[in-house]
Amino acid sequence: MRVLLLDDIEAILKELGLSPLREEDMLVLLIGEGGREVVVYIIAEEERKVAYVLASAYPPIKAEGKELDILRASWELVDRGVPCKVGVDKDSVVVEVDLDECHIKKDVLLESIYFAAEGMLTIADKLREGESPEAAEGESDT
Amino acid sequence: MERFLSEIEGILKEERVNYQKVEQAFLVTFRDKEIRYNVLIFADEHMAVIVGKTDPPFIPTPEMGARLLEENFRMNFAAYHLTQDNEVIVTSVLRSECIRESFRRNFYIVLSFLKRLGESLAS
Repeated sequence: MRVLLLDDIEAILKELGLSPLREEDMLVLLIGEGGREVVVYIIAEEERKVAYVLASAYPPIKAEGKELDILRASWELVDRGVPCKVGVDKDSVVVEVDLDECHIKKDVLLESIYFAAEGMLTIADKLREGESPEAAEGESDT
Repeated sequence: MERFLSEIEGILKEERVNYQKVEQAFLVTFRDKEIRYNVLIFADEHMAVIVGKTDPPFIPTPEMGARLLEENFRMNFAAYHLTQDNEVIVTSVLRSECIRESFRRNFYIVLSFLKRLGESLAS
């Protein structure tokens, strides 16, 4: 029986001491730092042998009206050695690292999870910096 | 590092891509109608990076920014960003050890992202 790419990734993550949740066709990790939380999803496209590491803030950050700031922040991330791409899915900001079969190895997977999570936290901080104190306060109340 | 650069050079030659070697990088430029496309490729022992931009530069409106972010989510292996000069650039990053397996695809994806910018500039 063919071993699925997602099974391989799950095994690697467990070997690294991480405990991903398996939700049908994806692996989910909850990463917290200083009271901030990021959800990391790992999705595999079995036929193409490609995996996507996606990070989203919890709760998700809305992109509306901040698109250029987000694109600018994504360049700052790459420029300081955090290669990731920042996109928007249904108006929520998502940070992503794409991996083909050659890149699916223990160290690269761990690094990609770090890049996605760090990227998401940085974008969240950048967008909060740009908000008025009233807006930031309003967001924390919700 | 030299090994990775010569692997990239070999692929560019195989693909019959015109390039210039500029110190430790390769510069690929081409023109389509009024738009010039510039792609810089460099690699160290860890990472290979492909960076592309258009000339004239693509300066996005917020609406275009929203579209670029949606495309970043929809497309894979490359991304649009905005520099401090408000210019859109395209990047793609891969591990140097995967140049043989992954460089060709990522290079053409960067070109495809750039062409989309070029089409928007031309319209």
